[in-house]
Amino acid sequence: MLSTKGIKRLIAQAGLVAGALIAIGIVVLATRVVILSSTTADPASALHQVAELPAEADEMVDWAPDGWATERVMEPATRIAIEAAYVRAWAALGVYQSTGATGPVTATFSGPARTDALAVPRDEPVATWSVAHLLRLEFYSLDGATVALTDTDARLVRTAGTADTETVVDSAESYAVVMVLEDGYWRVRELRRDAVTQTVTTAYAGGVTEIADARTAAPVAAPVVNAVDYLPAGWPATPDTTIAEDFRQAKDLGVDTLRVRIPFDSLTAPANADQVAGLLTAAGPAGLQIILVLFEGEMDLSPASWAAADHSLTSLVGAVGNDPALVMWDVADQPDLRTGAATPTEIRAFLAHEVRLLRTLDPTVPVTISWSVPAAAADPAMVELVDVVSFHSTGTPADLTAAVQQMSAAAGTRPIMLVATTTATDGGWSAFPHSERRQAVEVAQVLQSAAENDVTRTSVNQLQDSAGDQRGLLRADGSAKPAAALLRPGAPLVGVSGSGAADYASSNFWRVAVAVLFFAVLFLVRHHVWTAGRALRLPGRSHR
Amino acid sequence: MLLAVSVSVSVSVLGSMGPARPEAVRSAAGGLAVTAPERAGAGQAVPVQVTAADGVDVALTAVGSLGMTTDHAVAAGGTATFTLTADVTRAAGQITLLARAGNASATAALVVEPGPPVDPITPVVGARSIVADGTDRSMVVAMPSDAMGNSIADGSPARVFRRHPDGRVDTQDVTMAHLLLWGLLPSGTVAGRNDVWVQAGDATGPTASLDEVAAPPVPFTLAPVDPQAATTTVADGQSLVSIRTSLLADPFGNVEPDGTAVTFDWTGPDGPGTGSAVTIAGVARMSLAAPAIPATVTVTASCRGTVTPAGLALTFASAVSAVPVVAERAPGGIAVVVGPVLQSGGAFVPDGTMANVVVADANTYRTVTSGRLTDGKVQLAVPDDAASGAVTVEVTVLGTVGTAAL
Repeated sequence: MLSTKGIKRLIAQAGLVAGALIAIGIVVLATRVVILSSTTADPASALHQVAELPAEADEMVDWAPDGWATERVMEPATRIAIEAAYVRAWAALGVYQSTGATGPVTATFSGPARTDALAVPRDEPVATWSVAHLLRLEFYSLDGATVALTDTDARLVRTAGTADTETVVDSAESYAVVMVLEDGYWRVRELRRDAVTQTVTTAYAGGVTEIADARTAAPVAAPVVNAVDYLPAGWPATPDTTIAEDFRQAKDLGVDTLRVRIPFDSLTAPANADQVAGLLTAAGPAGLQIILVLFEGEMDLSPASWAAADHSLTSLVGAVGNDPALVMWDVADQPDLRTGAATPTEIRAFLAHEVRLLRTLDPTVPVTISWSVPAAAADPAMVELVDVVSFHSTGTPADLTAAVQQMSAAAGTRPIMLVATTTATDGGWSAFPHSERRQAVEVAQVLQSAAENDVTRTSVNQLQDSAGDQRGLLRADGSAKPAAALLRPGAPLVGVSGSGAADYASSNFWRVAVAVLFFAVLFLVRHHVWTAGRALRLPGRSHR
Repeated sequence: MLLAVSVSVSVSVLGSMGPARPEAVRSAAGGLAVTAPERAGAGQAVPVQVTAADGVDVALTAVGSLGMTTDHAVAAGGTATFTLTADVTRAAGQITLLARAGNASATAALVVEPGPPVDPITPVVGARSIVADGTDRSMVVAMPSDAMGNSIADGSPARVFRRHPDGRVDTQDVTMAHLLLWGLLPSGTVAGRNDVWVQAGDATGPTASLDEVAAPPVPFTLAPVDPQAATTTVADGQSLVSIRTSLLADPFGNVEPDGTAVTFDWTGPDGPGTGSAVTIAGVARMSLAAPAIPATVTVTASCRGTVTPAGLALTFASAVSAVPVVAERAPGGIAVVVGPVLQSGGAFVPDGTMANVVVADANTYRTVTSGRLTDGKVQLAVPDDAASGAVTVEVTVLGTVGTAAL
């Protein structure tokens, strides 16, 4: 047992250690401030470097019917060599603009085109990515060493400026091209920008997006949605019986829609096409609608990823776009949080690009984007982009009414959709336990608030708990939590009882608190006893 | 012509901006407006004004055929002034001008047109060598360019000149399309070198050569170079007979170019053989060694797929009229003396000529040996231990046989 003097010494030592730590922290912070104020920004942090060979190079070129039917017919191998060289040439322009490296341009261009490309001033950060090309052969020389092409639909993305001054230009253009065979390699001898058929310019500053584009189509009507999120366990190897059982359970809950959030690479992998189609096919007979969430898990929404995104999206829509069970495309879930690789401007330009592509591929299915916060969803340009304005509700249910009203005002004639994620039922470390009863209260509040504000499109939590996420309405064993009974239309939402004494007693916070309190009381009692004993032993007192 | 159009809408449409559209200037929100020439020549400095409030920092991005660049200017007097330098306008094609200030933006289009053609116009001819058969063809391709290296405008006229091997010059009017011009160069029927060059406007350039070569030859024949010598060459295994083709020429009389390969094939007493030669002045020659025994050798030839219709038959007579042989028994065997063996004219056969000796009795004894003649003679010792009765000695020199008996 420590003496009073020992306790005082211990407290003093702890104070010294704490003081030293605080002093070190201050020094570190000051150093960081000095470094930040004296160092210019790394260009790479503001501007993405363009890859010398795009990841989707082999998917970026399509050929229109040849416009050259006389003399020599182009050999298939030559066609492949030319399209590869052409994609590399475009990438080389991007590399030069973003890094100043001249090697790729020197290797892929020839003659005046090379000179002209390297002559363009690089005073400000700019970059170009090519996304897709549609080539038509216009001329092929008899000796097989010169070709003239028309790139009738060059899809290009350019960025200029950084941060709040960044502008993303997404355009469809037409180019006249001459390529020559030099030293065994095809090189661009002439590249002439003939026409610009479409330009979408995206700028974002101060939380407001400006998009100059050509979209004037009226919003597509969206059905009423009473949904939960759904991720098939073990996808893509999920047995059909598991999916059927999940659908049955979802239907039993009273929901009519599943918001499917399969990671995009797993969703669009060619090997999974049949599995995705099967999922949608099974939904119809089960009486369920499907919202497919796109680009889930894709953290890089910068122009470097657009070619791959376009390709995957086109494949997916081709596989499932006509399924009647598919009632909505959710282009991205909380894209505004994916700022690790793309700037806010690039994220919004990406969304505008993919929505435009989606409307081209599947014009009849409504489109939405689920923003993490109402303010992002209320951005007028982003509202214009979609058919249904969606936002996440992760705050307190009490804030929800104000958020819904804000959204309703911003959405205008477009319906809004509420994607609610309530507290997990993992116990948590809060003084207010993360219990199933608390989840039920929050779900009830969300649904009640939605009903009061005429929000007829909701998605609440997820169907079932998984190993790392206990926000499900069903436990991992398939049994229903209290909140599961609230999704059925007409279910009583008032008077749902919250956490009880048992919830508090079993919560982590209160267990620890009680334990600490117990030991504190124990210490005080022991200390009191010790102090009393010491007083009895003081000189002048009689001891026996 | 300068255009200035300001449109105060939050969303603008920039579509189908062909080079001749008058709506070269568009504007978005914020009152920005871009004023720029609708068209400019390649390499010209182009002034651009952007209307903006005083003190506003305006960024102007120019997107051209081969790159993009951004410049900044602060508006003063209601305008931010920029100049697109020659480095930006040197590449022909459409330039999109994007002005940005805050969230306001405006765009405009500027078409940079290529200038007139300048020297040199370098023609590329391929294939470089074609057959002068009236059906083969080559092609000339050229990219006449302006002072900045841009191909001149599509639709521009040009003329291809061709000087034929016979000195005749003809022309072919062509038109620029897809940034280049091309013309077919059909073959004639006279072999030789063509010169090809291109003129566009006042510009011209060097010539490119086009060789027209003879087609495969018509069927040809073989003959000895010296017919008299061919008939007197004997089968001595050493003499050479020169043979030659007839003049190798195509159906139009064009002689095969020097160096054209001719393959000779022959069949004789030593089996089949092959040799090759190349033509000089349309004729190929080859020397054929005489066989070592009297025989007829048949020779054929082929050139570029054409084979002689009939073989050339060369007959080689025996080089030796008689082989004197003397055989006598000696201690340890039979001594065989051959010679002197004389060739026609009375001289010894060349030293080293082989004499093959066969010694045999009426039963099973048979011994074979040989020796080389020196000064027309050779002496050989043949063991006769197993021989019984009468023995016959047979000696063969260059296909002629001499015998002796013991």
